[in-house]
Amino acid sequence: MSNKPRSEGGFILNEPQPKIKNGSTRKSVKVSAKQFPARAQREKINRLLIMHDLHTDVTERFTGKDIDLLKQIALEGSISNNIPAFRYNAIQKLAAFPTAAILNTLHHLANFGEDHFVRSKALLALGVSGIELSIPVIARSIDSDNILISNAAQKALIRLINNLGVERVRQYFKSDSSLNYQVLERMMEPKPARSLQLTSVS
Amino acid sequence: MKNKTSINQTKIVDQLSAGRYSALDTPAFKPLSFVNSSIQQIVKLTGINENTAAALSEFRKKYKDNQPHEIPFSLFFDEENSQRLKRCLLYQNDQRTIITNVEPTDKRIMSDNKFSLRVSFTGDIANAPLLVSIRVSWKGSPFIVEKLITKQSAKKEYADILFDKQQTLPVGPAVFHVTLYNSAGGQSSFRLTCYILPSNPFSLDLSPNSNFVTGTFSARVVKQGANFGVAINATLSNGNSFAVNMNTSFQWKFWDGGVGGSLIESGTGNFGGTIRVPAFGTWGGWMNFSSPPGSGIFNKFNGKEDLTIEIIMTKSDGTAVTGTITARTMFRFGVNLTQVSPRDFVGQQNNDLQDAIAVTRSIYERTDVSFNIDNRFIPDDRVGGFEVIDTFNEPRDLWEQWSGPDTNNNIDAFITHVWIDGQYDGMDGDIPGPTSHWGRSSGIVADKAAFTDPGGNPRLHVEYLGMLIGHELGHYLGLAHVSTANNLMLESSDTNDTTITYDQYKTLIRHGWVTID
Repeated sequence: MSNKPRSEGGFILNEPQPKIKNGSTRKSVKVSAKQFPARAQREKINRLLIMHDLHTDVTERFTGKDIDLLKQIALEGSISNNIPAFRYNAIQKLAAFPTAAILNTLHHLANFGEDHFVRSKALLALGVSGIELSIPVIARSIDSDNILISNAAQKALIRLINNLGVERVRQYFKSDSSLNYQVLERMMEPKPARSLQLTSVS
Repeated sequence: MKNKTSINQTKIVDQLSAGRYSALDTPAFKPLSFVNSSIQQIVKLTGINENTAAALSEFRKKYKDNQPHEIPFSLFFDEENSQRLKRCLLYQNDQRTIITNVEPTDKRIMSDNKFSLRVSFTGDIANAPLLVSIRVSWKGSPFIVEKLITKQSAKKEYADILFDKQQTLPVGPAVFHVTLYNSAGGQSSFRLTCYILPSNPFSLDLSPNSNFVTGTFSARVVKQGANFGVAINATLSNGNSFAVNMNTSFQWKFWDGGVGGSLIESGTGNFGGTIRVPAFGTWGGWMNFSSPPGSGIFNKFNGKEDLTIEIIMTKSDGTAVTGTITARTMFRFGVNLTQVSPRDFVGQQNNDLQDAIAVTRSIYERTDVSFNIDNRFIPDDRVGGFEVIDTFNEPRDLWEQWSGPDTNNNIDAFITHVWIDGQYDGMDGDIPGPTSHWGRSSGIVADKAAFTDPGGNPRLHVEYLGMLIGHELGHYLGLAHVSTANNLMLESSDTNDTTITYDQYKTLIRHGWVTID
């Protein structure tokens, strides 16, 4: 912590600071942006992919030029050892550019992603996309044995219903005999009121 | 003196090798080519079963030109085997360049000497030149060393990064965060911790109790019942090519005004057993001091004074070696660390969560602010839809239903899958958060940062989760977003962004739930 006085809040801090041979700084050696321009775009996207709170004043935006790199990040996999938020949020951002190729990628990830974390993120992204064609993959995932995938699929379907309207989603379910209509009806049932007294934790 | 400080507990701390010193380091892993590797090689790497291996040959012919997300492994293989194949292999037109290992070229790093790190990689080198960037966290201010790797050099699939005489390091842990970029925008990361061994050639160093983050900071003094307690780690490091035997007993002294100032109290302790510091290796011990009311040390800490702890150990030949650290009381708050549904924390993920909160604590203790933890969970059968939070209202519903009870004045921190509106991985109730457990603002949520490692184990990203919890706690304690580089409160703070400034310190210590012993 820089510039902290040796006495604050009534503390008496009179012990000597630890000494480091050759001082507490070392010389950095950096490669300029001109020498390696690809990093600048990657760093901009990285910054936009990790946002922690809703009260942000975003000055940078994704553009169409970023789609290829977003797709690449979405597919980086855990062997890249990058923080998971990069690829999960890249999956989500792809939903804002719902071209046929992007939707195919999201469908592939929802069906065959490398683990249930990736698959659940792809399902949520398909929900955000608001595209009717995503209904089958989402609907089939609701009955998954994996709780995370099932939960994500339910939330994705709610997003789609909010975007498309419940009647349109109902019509889609009725027109596709491979879909379990009961899944939709189950979700439309009124939920019991949540208890407000659930305070016992261990 | 009637009331005296004593050591009420010691223990030996397991050590890893000096060249790969932390359990948080990235394991070496080399993915294979889906198309060009032999079936035997793939079986060995991925651990897929024999029946799967037999089917793989035909399957590969059919899908050799596809990208991994397009290959329907799960239609041909069971879930576990298909996921292993997807995670561990590189495919046609794969634009990933993966760091497979980082290690000191001389197996170890000696203090105050030049050294180099070998960064090994595989995958796409067509998109060379590559850029290696290494951020070094050590006792002093972090610094960066970068190197461009030409297309020709990239063919070797490794690069040696030199740290010259202006970048030598002192004895102690140093963390190297290595990032590799290719020209197509691909990025791969790797973390390596080395214990820098003494060239002189033997050293004793003291550090705070949970020293996950490098840097120089104070040991935390806490109330343990009526007493003040302080726990520290002692690390012996050996730069010799032969092992060194030590006496198990040691002397301790608490000084006011540094070593040679006023001696407040002193005594002896014993680690028991035998102490043998291996050649080019380390030995670790842990000790807890307890100071009752009326003791000299208690009186100093009660008066908010800091003290210097000196530990003196002796080799079996009688040579003494000493180490020092500052100890002080700190401002303190509490955190109710709540797993939202324990069934969603599998295997190593439970340890990862505790490691992550230790990272958070280190971030705050470098600022001389600490916190206590109360571990909690929301039972699986009562968790409702909170296992996945994707809207702005859900965190507030969560706090309204599950914050509290008012048995302590801790901040409620809920850890679950958070993906609010597809972009926000954390949220706090208010800036600052309330000093009650009522209403729709009394808590924070943070995304688990969950993933599956190449070995197939569900994990949490410890450094990122630790930073994210710290960021959200910062909001609750009154800190707004800033744009200062490497600050914890950046709106896009990453694992390297952990600084808290003095002005921020002055803000957070004024929160109503921050106290001092």
